[in-house]
Amino acid sequence: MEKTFKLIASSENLTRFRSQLKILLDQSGLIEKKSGEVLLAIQEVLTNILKHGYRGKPSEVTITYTDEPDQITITVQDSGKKFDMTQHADPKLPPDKPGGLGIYLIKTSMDKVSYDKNCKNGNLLRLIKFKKERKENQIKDMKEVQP
Amino acid sequence: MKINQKLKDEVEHLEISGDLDFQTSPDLREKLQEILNRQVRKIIINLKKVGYIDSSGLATFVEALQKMKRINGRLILTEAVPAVRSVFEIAKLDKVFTLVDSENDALQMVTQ
Repeated sequence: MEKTFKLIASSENLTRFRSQLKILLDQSGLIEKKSGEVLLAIQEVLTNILKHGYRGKPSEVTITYTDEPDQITITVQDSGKKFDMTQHADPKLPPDKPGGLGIYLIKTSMDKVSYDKNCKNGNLLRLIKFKKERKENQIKDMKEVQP
Repeated sequence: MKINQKLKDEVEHLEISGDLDFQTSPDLREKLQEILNRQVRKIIINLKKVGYIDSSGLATFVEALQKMKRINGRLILTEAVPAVRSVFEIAKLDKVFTLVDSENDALQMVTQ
């Protein structure tokens, strides 16, 4: 099942989209903990786009949600300032100052996060959550095989 | 998000209901700043009605905790649901904050 959302990245719309995504995740068969992690990651991605990519100015974001038998894949495309969050260094933990945790929460909440360097305008991020637990080395192998 | 607030025996009790995210965290930040401006040194925040927290919510608590430490105050979080507690754990903030299971436990800690 694939569903595409086009939304204006404003704080009100992010909250509304989170409710829509929760309904889809509830139907996907993901356990509640994993579902919560996906919601958190996507919210952080969208908040980053709004805060940094569009600098608070509401602009369009396209989100594609794909539910497959063994995984949920979500792509997020924006036309804001280019930023490859996968290259962002992890913060010091526990943090000694407020802020700076968003990207870390995205990376740790999802099983795979990849950035499309060939995206001409803006950014294209692909996030994957496996429905069943996988060992770390299985995930690592997949990361090496896929571009 | 709603915040219920009461001051009893020099302890400020807050009960938050709803989501703590990019949109709602500024309201909590403002409320905590207002409490700190009154020189309150003991704050208990009940999270049992918070179903979701993101990095903005965490940052609000980190900021408040730092301010409380500067005045030798105590900030204790109680009854966080598993979804909220796990976000604290991912950021290793469960080692920084005092997270307890009940208001009574929190009250005992702040009155010690």
